[in-house]
Amino acid sequence: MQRPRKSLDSLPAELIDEVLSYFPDLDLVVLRRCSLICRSWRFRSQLILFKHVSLWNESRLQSWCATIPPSPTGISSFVRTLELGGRWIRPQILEQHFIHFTSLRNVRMLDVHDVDFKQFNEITFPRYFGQLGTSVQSLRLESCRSSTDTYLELLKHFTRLEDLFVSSDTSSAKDPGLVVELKGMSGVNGGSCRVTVDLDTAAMPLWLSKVCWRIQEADVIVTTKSGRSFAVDTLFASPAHNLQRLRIELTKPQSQPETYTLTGCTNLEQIHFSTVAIRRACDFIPLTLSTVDSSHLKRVVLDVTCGEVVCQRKFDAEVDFASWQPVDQALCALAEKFGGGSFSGGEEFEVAVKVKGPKEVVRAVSGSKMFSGLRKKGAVAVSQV
Amino acid sequence: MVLLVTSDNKNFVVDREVADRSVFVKNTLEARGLSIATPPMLNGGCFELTSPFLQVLEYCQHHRGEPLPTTDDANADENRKRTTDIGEWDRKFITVDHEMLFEIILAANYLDIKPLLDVGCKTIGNMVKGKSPEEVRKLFDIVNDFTPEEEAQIKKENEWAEDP
Repeated sequence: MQRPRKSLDSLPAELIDEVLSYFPDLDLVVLRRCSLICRSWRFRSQLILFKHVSLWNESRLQSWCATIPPSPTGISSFVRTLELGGRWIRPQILEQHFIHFTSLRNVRMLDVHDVDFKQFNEITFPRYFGQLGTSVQSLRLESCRSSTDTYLELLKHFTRLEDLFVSSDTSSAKDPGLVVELKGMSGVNGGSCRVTVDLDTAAMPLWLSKVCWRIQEADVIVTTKSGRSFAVDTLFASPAHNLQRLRIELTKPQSQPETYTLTGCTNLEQIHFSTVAIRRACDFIPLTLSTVDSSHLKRVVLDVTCGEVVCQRKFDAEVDFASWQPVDQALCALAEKFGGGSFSGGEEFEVAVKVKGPKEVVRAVSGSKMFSGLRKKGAVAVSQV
Repeated sequence: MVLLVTSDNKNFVVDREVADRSVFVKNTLEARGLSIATPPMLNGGCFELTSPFLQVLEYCQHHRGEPLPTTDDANADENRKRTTDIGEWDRKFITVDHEMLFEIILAANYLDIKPLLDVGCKTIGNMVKGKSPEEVRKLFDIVNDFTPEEEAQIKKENEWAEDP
């Protein structure tokens, strides 16, 4: 049998893709030239060339509309990452280019910044974002103006969302006051969530509880210099039945949250208090623990990262061992409530003390009354961090 | 030792270590617990392996024992592709006529030998780099199937494209 002669344009499409993917840094000039070789190479090259599109001003949107036909199977369908940015994005502008905008049917990642979402409503959101919402899996919203209601109205159209990143306006502060990262939202296990909030510059993301109620793991990092109160149950309000692991980190010694309630988290398995060497830590930890209403609780971690210098000089003053008695009592109460007074069911309370050497570990725990109740129950694990 | 049979019924007896350079062969042998791998014929027998297979075998023998790239590390895959460097031995090995080069790429793809596919694709990439579309067409004997209007439209569209 006569074998057909092999030539470059006879390679299957996936191998042309493979060849194109080897161009150094996916060179723009080379890809542009490749698109002009023949039809099959045009298609494969333009798939890469138009993978990422940025529309950062109105004239750029106009140029896109004037150049790229709004065909749902053409170049518009090649776009996988779309960047939309600027206050110019208004319903009226998008209406003028409606056909082009809605022909972007395969966008997987949408990166939006500096958009004023308060100009949109329950009619304009689905009109301009409904199509994108059916394909976008990863959404970034940075420095956008929005209220809880507008966030909720927008997000409800993104039905296939896997990952969501939201950061608040950075124009007035060096660091964003609020950063929310949700990953694996549509996964079987509900995904994970990381919330960093500076209560002095940002409002609580009250929309979060409606969006991430399936989340199983959460990191909450709170800072405040002015001692504003922080209610964790507003983040994971009922239904937060899926939440299994929660880590709360207070990053500034001045942080003084007053309200931590976890009553909605009925399947909580682990609570991790991180960086708790702050004044009044011994108040809010027992208060928070007293609100736990999960019979699945197996592990409480108190990560006493009080800082090496503080440990050396001020440990007694700042984190008085005796003042940990309420924490000890709260943990013992939990043991009574869910463990029948013992920890034989695999429950464990771990105390991690960050000190300079083994002597300090012994001094911090064994040589004091700290966690004496738990020690009697044999349920404290001490580690040098 | 492993007996490898190509689609045109040629037999090759090779060390297991050499055969395992091909993920396809490795998986086939492991799945069936055999020491004979017979690649199925493709496209009604048009795909004839013997000629490129000798080249592929030479490559596998030279690189036997080297660690295979992991399939689950996307970053490593990306980094591997980002460099156009080809080793001295590989460069000499892949200095073949165009038709053999395409045959080797097809065989490497079929037999799932990632490092050889790398070498083949990088070689084509290096050949294309710095050449105009017309020069590439001439080099690889490709027919220009665009109308002048289409070419103008593509140039206009491409102006829009950003760095990927």
